[in-house]
Amino acid sequence: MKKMLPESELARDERFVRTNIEDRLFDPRGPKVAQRNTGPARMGVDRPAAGERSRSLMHGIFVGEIQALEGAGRTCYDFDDETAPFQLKLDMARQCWDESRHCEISVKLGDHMGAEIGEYTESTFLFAAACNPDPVLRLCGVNRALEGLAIDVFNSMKDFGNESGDPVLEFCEDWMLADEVTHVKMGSDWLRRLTATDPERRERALEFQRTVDAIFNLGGFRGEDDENPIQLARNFRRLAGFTDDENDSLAALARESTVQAREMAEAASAALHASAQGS
Amino acid sequence: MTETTKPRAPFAPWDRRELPGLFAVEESARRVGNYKWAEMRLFEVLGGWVATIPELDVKLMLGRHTYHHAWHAELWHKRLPELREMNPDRLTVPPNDAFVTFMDAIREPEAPELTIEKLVGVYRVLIPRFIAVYTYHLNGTSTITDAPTIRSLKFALQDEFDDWRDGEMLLQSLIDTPEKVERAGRRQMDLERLYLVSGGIAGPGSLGEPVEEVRVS
Amino acid sequence: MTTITVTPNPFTLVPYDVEEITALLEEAAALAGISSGVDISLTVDEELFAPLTGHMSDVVDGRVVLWISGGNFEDNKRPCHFSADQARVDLSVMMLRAKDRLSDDFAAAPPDAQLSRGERAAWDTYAVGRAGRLGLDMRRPRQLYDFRLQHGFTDVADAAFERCWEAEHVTWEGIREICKETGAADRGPSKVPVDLLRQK
Ligand SMILES: [Fe+2]
Ligand SMILES: [Fe+2]
Repeated sequence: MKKMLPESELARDERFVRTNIEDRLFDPRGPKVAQRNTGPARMGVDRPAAGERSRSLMHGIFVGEIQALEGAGRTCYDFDDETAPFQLKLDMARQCWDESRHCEISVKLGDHMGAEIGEYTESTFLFAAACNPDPVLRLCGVNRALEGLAIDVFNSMKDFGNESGDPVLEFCEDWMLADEVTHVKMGSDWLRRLTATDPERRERALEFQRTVDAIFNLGGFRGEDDENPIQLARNFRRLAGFTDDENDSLAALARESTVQAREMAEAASAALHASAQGS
Repeated sequence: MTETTKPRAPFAPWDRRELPGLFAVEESARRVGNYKWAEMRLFEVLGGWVATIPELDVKLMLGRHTYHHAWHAELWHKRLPELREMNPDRLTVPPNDAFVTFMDAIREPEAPELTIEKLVGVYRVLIPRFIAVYTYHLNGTSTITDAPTIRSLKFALQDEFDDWRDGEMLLQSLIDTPEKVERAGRRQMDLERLYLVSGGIAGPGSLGEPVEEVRVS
Repeated sequence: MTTITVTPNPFTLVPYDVEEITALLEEAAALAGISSGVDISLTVDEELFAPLTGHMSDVVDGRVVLWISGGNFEDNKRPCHFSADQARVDLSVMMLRAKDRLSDDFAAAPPDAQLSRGERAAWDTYAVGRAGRLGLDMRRPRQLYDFRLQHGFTDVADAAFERCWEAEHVTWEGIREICKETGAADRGPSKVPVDLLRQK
């Protein structure tokens, strides 16, 4: 089997339909809806289409977990023992098991909410971040940016479970949250260890992380206001090794106007694809 | 009241452990190094395959098993310095080139339609051989001096048995036509021939006396 | 003679076809048993996309007045594309509720914009259950989750759901009773207007 599997070759059964982030970015309805009040984007039983939005998000989490599993798996395989130390691969193997459980949990939660596998489209930008040819950049993009986002998502879902009195959701999200903190911590630790004597590589890795982060601030998806469906989980992020400065700058980025966020997301998406191609 | 001064035998009557074992420290370390090398190549490829496998149940199982084999590699990695090998990498090697050829063949399939070939290699060829070689080591080594290796072998074996059953059951559910039976059979035969040439996970003598050189045409 | 009006005509943001929607609406009206002679107007908000879904069925001066998010018609697997299967399901549920409103049983029900979320979830369940028995492909777990969000994740709520789902005849008073039983009636008014998506 070859090293470095492109995103286009991810194997799926016939239920799954792939879309790309550009479909959403260039949807003519996007700018119109952005100017409308569609209610508190923050999850809650009172917001419009609460059930459908939860199902759609849950399905997004499910396919995200599949890609996280695939990405961690590829990191076990893609690098020789010199490029990726044995202990790093062990961490990635552990993450494979965790993400595999997260897939199982997400399927069950989807059932609980009435969603079906493949009901919504899958966008594979998470895996695209896991295609970076430098393991440090890969871990920054995946374990710090995307798993950091997972912390925010699961914390928001847990709050929603609590608020809606849904014991199943709250229970599951709490467990997944614990795993994701561990994964982000792995990313933070390996960033520190592998770039201890190479500040230039560290900076490149952090830059890649910012690129990936920018995509998810799209249209205010994540932030610290009521307008953001996904809330920045500062405390859990701190546990996972993010500094207050990092959290502050992420929050600042999230507060940028929607238009600006859209432009940044477009640029970031292009940069991500370019990096996956190794350019 | 318990009598604190009454002498008792160090071995309880039912404790039948014995000193003699088949392996000296060096030999035990050599084998452990081979195990680690093979477990590493296995967990890497299981992880790599996840993205290439469309069947959801198989995908998720491989995610779980990737960690099991990584953990075995870690157990052996930690055991090596205890066996006087302060540089574990020195012994983390395949027993011979033929075994590398065998592992390369196990790891070769990539296309999404080759799930049967992938699983046959792991669950019908390699894991049964891990079970054999670990059991041989477990049964042959000194139950007193090599107890730490025995403990790790037992943990690993428990996983190997469970994983073999998981993989075999999925294979049985995937092999649903006579053509697929043939495919699985052919794949198994090809790999077993390569394995035979290598002599095993720990080379010739993996399961005892070194065998005569095997030629496979 | 029934007049059916679909707005916008034509669609400009999404490639939805007015004729196709009109035909589906006629089909749904027949399925729900709306008598001929009742005029029906449907407004589709084509700016909204999935999962920003929602629909409303009111009766104004004897006319059925419907509103639906464009997201309800959108094929989840192909963004921007029309899904006739999804449209058939949602239009049938809307027409069943319109039929309820045309009867004396729901004469006292306030317009959709003034229903509480609990009342709406119970009424929807009653309609979705009937649509399933009329041969449409309805998804029970989905409706159950939406019901639980408003009535609670409790045995009492689940039993109430079961009754709404199976019922062949419920009145507006019955819907209010269910909300009292599950405690949904005790929840304060929604902080967010229930017709927010309809407001531009
Ligand atoms: Fe995860
Ligand atoms: Fe994770």
